[in-house]
Amino acid sequence: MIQYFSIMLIAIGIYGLLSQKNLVKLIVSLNIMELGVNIFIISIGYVADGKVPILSPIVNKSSMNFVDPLPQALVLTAIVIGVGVTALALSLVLKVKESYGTIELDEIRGDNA
Amino acid sequence: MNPTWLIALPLGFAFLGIFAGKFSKAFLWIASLANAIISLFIFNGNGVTSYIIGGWIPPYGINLVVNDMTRVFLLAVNLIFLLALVATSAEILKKDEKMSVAFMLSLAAINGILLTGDLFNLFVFLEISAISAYIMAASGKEAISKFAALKYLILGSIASSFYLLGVIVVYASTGTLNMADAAAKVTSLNPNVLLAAGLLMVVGLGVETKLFPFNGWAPDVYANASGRGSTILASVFPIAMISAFIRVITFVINSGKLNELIIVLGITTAIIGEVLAFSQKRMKKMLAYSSIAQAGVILMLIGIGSSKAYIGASMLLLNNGFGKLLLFSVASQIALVAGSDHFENVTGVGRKSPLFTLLFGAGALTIVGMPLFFGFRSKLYVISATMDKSLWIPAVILITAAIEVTYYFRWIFNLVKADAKLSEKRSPVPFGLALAGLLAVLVVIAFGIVPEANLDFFNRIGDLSIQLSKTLMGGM
Amino acid sequence: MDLSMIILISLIAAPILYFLAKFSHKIAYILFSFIQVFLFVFILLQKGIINTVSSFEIMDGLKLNFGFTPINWYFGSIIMLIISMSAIFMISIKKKSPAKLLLLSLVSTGAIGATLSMDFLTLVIFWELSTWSSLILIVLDKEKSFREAIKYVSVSAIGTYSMLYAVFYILKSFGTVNYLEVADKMKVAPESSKILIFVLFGIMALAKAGSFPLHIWLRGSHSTAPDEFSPILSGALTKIGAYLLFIMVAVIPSSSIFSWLPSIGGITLVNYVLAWLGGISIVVGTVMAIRMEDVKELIAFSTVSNSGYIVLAMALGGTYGTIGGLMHVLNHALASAAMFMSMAAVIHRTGTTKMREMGGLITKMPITFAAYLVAIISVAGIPPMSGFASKWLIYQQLVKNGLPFLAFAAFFGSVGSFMYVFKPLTGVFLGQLKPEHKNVKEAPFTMILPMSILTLLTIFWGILPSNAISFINKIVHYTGGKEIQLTFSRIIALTGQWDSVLVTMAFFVGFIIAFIIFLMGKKARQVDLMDTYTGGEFLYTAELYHFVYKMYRPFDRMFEKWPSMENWLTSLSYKIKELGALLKTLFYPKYPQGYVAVSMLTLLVAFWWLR
Repeated sequence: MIQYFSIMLIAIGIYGLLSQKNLVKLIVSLNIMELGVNIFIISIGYVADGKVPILSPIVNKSSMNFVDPLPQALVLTAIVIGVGVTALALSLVLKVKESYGTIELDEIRGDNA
Repeated sequence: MNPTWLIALPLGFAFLGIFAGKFSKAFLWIASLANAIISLFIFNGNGVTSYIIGGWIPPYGINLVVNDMTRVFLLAVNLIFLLALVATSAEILKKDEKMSVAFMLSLAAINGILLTGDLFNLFVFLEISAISAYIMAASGKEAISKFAALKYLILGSIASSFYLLGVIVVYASTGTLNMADAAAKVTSLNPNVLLAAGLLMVVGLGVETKLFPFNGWAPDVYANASGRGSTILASVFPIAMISAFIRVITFVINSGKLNELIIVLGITTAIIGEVLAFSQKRMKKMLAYSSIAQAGVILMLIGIGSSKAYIGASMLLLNNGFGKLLLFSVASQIALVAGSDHFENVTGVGRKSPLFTLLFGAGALTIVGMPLFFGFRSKLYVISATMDKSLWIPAVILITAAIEVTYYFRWIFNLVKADAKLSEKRSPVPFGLALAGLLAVLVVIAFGIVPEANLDFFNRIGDLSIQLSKTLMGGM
Repeated sequence: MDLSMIILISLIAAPILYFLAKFSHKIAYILFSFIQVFLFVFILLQKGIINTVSSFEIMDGLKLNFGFTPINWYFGSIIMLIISMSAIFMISIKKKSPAKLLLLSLVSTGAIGATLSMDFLTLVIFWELSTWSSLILIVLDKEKSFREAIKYVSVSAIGTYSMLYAVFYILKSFGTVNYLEVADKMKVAPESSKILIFVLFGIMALAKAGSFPLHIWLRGSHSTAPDEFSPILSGALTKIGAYLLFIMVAVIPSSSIFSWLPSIGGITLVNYVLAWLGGISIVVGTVMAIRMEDVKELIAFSTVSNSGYIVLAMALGGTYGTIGGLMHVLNHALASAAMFMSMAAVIHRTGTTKMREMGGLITKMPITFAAYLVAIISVAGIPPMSGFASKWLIYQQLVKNGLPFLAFAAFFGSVGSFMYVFKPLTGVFLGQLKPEHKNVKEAPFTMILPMSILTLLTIFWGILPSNAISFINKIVHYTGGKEIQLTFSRIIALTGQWDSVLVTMAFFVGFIIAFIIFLMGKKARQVDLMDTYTGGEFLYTAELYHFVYKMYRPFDRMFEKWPSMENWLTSLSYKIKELGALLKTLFYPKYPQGYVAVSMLTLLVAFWWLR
């Protein structure tokens, strides 16, 4: 179920990228899409009634149905990267605003821009 | 020698460079020089070696894989990177020190892409290289370079999301992220799932390798980035990105249908690239479209996947690396001298300074594949390999090559055209450009005229690719 | 000495000469001409030797093969003769540069490698080498050359890549690219692949020989090339096209591999089409040459016409056709090189290429005049110069096969060549001397020498064509064709025999008689150019009163409305640019939405298609 939800988020993100003209809104769309991907990744590792995947004196049998820990680690990395890219994107938007005086796509003029 | 240094060294220096102020420029030189030397050591060897990172045994942990293909590519990448730095050393960038950090970051990421044996690790390195590429793309003087970089960023982010999605699909169905392990396990997968994962990854890597239609970002970025940025983006990046493409799409996924799709898209890329390059009025834009076309031919060869095709593809990659190094660094310098790189503006520049003509001419001749140059030898392999696949592909490739020859010669002629417009003063070629350029010219000529026996490492790439696509990726 | 060593020497000489020329132009140019003469003599001395060397693996299993057979020797000697003579000619040219020497050495290396090649791959590699270096060489001197050389680039690219395709197609089908082995395998090849290979090779041969419909590059490239390079371009490099043509029609005998096709006039359909292209080329070249105002453009079109003769002769095949064609290669190489050299000498001294700006130079440059005169007589095919014998043989073959229209084209070319070669003769050498050319001197010795050698050779083979035909007979024998019967002075052919010595004697006697009449007659009075009636107007521009100013105006008017064959390449380039604009709007729009949409669409379509 949650996977359909994440795919919907990705679709919404792509729709935003196609329809929006504002640069900041484009970046928000990107973030929505990335969010969808991240949720998808988490959903892969989900196991119904799963336990926390930590070996401890209480839970020490490896045969227990753990939640897959790897997707969570991947998502953490992906989130960090996403934040970095978003920051870079916003700084580029600032630069575009400085040079063109606008952040609306159709108002950006310039030779062959 | 442990190849981890290739990644760790530039990454460490990049980290230090943030705080080092003026020294970061020196760090960049040290890192790239050290990397070139280390890759030279790694080049001396053969066979497949796996290096375990962090003490976890593959397929549970991340490993670095050195095989015959990686050896050649590592050496080429680090050497071309160093030459590109030398060639563009005369250029003064805005915030030069900060920019050095981005270049070091890209060097680390590119070596990582070439080395890693893990799908998710590859994603991380792809992202690092992409981020540094966005910064390089935005490094141009004109405002348009910022906008171009933003467009690149949007497409690049979609691409990395898709690649990640593909990786997760593979992980969900095989339970592994190790390339070799995944390659062995995907064969038993539902073909539709495999196809979906493969397609997502093709989109993801297609953006970076400039496969049509995912390459919309490339012309603007290449044409407007700074000299150093565009040179590195055009000469070093393709090698790493296509290496990633080979590993993921053909070695791990290895689906026949997908390979057919890549052949079709590759040929389309070549046609569109050459046709558009033919009609360009700006030198760097022309070079950008030409890079797209070259990438198309290389990817098409990878799609064909025979031993000869791999030899041809790796030769073309290296040829493109050295050729574009020459062309982009000269074009950027000419743009500085002439004020812009428009066709009319650069007329006769080469007559004033013949060295420009020599460097640009050699680069252009090797890209179009004229005898005596490396490009010709790779062209022979391209035709031979495609001829084995189908009679139509070489015909199309040769028609596009005829277009390519025409426009490249138009630009060479334009440089040496007798015209009084630029006669005020001689524009000297900077020492760095002359040095690196002449070295690159020597390399392409040497590769063009040495007997085949001396180029054994290309044959080994061919053999390796056949083994790998049949059995499994090395380095479990 | 090993054959591959010769080519290596020539190749290594290129950078050495370049750096030497940085120090001294003079020494480097002299050294260059020594090397070229040495190479020429070396090749010439290999007469009668048959051997092959293969060395240097270019890609797996494929080596470069060089060798000597009578064919290689013949073409190699002709081409190196022209190149070495031009090299001597260059020593006193004004515009010297290191880059030119570098490229010239590469051109020469390519030409040697191509003519001494024993397989198609080696041929195409070295041919392409000489092509790209000559391309850059063309644009070095003149501003106009830029637009013109581009045509050469694309035409030669079309040619080279069709040939490259054919070579790999042959390699894939037959497993070898060696001439003789391919000839063997061709006999049993499927019909479609025979035609494919032949057409692709034909495109290359026509493109490089400068024959219709791929002749469009000659006009601009020959005329705007550096003056000292034009002889090589026209005399030597176009002859490699004839070499390939000869291999196609004689070594891989096209008459026998296409015997399943209907034949017309005793030749197969494929050859017949080729012969027609040659015939059209003769007519087009001749008509255009007559209309040209620029000396070098005129000679360029005469090259088109003469390439037409070679194509026609080779396509006809048969004893006389093949031998006539081979001899025409020699004759045209000598004559066109001599023509371009004499014009280069005139340009060297006067500094202009427009005919109407010259005139009366016969008294100032008599030896140059003589060289030009002999060359044009040979080109026009008038006895007693060597050009007659080859044309005569070609006519013999046309008569034998009974092809009236092609024969008409050939005769038209001969008559027309009178008209066009007469134009520079009167324009440049005869008529009134221009006031600004009062102090023009004869060309320097290093220019006179090669011109004289070429002239003497033309006269020698004119008087004794049997000498040239005797070694052409060896080539024909080598390829298994029929030889022509010869005596010391006679060539015996279908409709009769040609006794060149007798005719020369008759000409000589006639010349003596004419000379006596000339001496007995009244002495000519020199009149100034402006010394004329004008109906009350003053005279300012001497050019308008020049003899050759719009010389063949009525003829020109006759052909003015003819469709121009030269624009198809330009319009093709516009079409490509339009396509580029369309593709740009479709796939490379200004805003990122465009790419994103196209990418997503491709993803979905690809999934739907491959599923």
